[in-house]
Amino acid sequence: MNTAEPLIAIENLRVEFTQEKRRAFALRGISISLYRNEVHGLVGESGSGKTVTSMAIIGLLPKPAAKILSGSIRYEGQELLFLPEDELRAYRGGKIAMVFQEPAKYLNPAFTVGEQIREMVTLHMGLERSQAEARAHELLGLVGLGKDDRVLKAYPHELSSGMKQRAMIAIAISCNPDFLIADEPTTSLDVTLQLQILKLLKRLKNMKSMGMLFISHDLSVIREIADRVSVIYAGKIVESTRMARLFEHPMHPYTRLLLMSIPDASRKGKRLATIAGQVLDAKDDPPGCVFAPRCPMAKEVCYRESPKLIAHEAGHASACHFAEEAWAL
Amino acid sequence: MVLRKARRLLFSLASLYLLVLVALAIAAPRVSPYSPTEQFLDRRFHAPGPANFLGTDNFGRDILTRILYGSRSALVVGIVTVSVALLLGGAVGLTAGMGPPALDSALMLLMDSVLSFPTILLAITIVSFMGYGLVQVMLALGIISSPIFARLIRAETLSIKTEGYIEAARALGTGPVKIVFRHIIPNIMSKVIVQCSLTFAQAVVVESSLSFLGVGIQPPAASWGLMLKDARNYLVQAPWMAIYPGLCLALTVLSFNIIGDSLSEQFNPRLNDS
Repeated sequence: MNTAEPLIAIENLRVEFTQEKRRAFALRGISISLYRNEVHGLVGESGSGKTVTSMAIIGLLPKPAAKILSGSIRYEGQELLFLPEDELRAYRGGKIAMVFQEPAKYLNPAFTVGEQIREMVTLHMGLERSQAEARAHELLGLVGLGKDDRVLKAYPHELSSGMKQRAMIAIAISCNPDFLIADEPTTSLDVTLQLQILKLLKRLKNMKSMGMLFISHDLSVIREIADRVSVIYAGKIVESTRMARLFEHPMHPYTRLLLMSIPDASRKGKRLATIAGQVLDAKDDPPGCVFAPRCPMAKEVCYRESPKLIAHEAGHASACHFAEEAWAL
Repeated sequence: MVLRKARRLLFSLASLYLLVLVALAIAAPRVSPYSPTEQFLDRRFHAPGPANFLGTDNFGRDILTRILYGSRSALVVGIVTVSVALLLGGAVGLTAGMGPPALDSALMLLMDSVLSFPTILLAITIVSFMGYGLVQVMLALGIISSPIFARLIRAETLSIKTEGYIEAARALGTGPVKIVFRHIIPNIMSKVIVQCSLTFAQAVVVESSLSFLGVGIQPPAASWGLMLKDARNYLVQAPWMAIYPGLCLALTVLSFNIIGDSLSEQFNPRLNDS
């Protein structure tokens, strides 16, 4: 699967935010390869740079606050960074689409679901009205909202939150994008709905051989859907590997601690493990490892030298000086 | 509950009054018993009676007829003023709201400076540059009322701009022009409509004031303000000359204000739980 050229290749992306002379390092040089027909999970705490990554891909980083210091984002070899706005717009929605966290906020309250789908397909696919109508019907069927007119003619506030998220997904995939960015699409939903939406996304991915970047702070959600996973911490990818591999053999201390903090029925009654300390302040730019201040294994070298993201085994990369060592936490 | 019912009743009455007024204004040439300008010097200062329902004025003209024709001036002025103000203010407000901060500041400074003049004074100034008459009055009023729209639309645009669905629209490749027309304008319309109603009322008042001062609609055309001006010298002798046009003016303005307030409550979700 990974022998092919990546659909989207992010290389050494560094993004900085400045506000009133205060600088914050949002991304400290991340590299991710995203492939067709593969769900890539991106997991990290709030403020670790998950959303910044997705915004960078579709070129919607807030201007002028955000500044891209270095790096590249290529879509099938075409550099997306610094592409003029009107050329970039053809990618958004048409080739790369996005699903957001809170569907209630991301649907236009003034138009029906049908109108919003029709707008997309007339914009990107140039469909006639009747074709757009048919397409809207088809899409609602795809996302499990039935083929009757009820949802098409409904305004967002008339739908439940699960239906809204399905409608949002229908709008996102309306123009057959090659790649879908899902930014915490299930976080605002209850657990049963979460599972349904995850299944839906998985089904759509297989049906359309889409690539997908699935962003979440919740490893147990990522586990349900992702084929590969990258762990992001303080604007750096600390570990990247196949999904199963991550759970079997995590190579970065942060990943290990993260796995231990997943609630598990077998440990019922015991205290949930937490990671001591605080996330690195975005203002700081330490010479060493970003996780060193919280790392129980940190040695002197960790504060001095920043570990590179190195592939230790086929398709398993970790950014830790001691990734190869067997350690116990 | 009682208050709610009373409000709803007021809203209905105001709407009814305005509907009748509009209908009569449109049908004025058919329903009015006399010509608005024809003078009957033998019938000057007739009190209200069977021949002249609301009496006659100092030239023997029928007051009812002139009120009906005056309503045409008032409504036309209102409609055109609101349209001009909406277009002008809308363009400025949307540009300021969507554009770079420097442009925003510059435009808002301009609007604030327009707002800082007393309405009537500014209206007189503009009208005296352009000449007296209906068209000039409407343009002047439109220009004067535009900053209110500009400020409102800018503020609404700024707040809507950060909404998720705007971000989603951009993320799905919608261009800035389409975002303004499809996503911003429909979502600020409710507040704009309320302002239209209030501005309409204000336009009717200011038109009357300008006509009263002699810089608005020129005689012998009919306008409520003009009628009040004529009535001024005969308040004791022929009070009906002032009472009826004044009443019409007051009721019209009141109705538009009531409708504006009711709509604003309707559109405000926080006040809308019964």
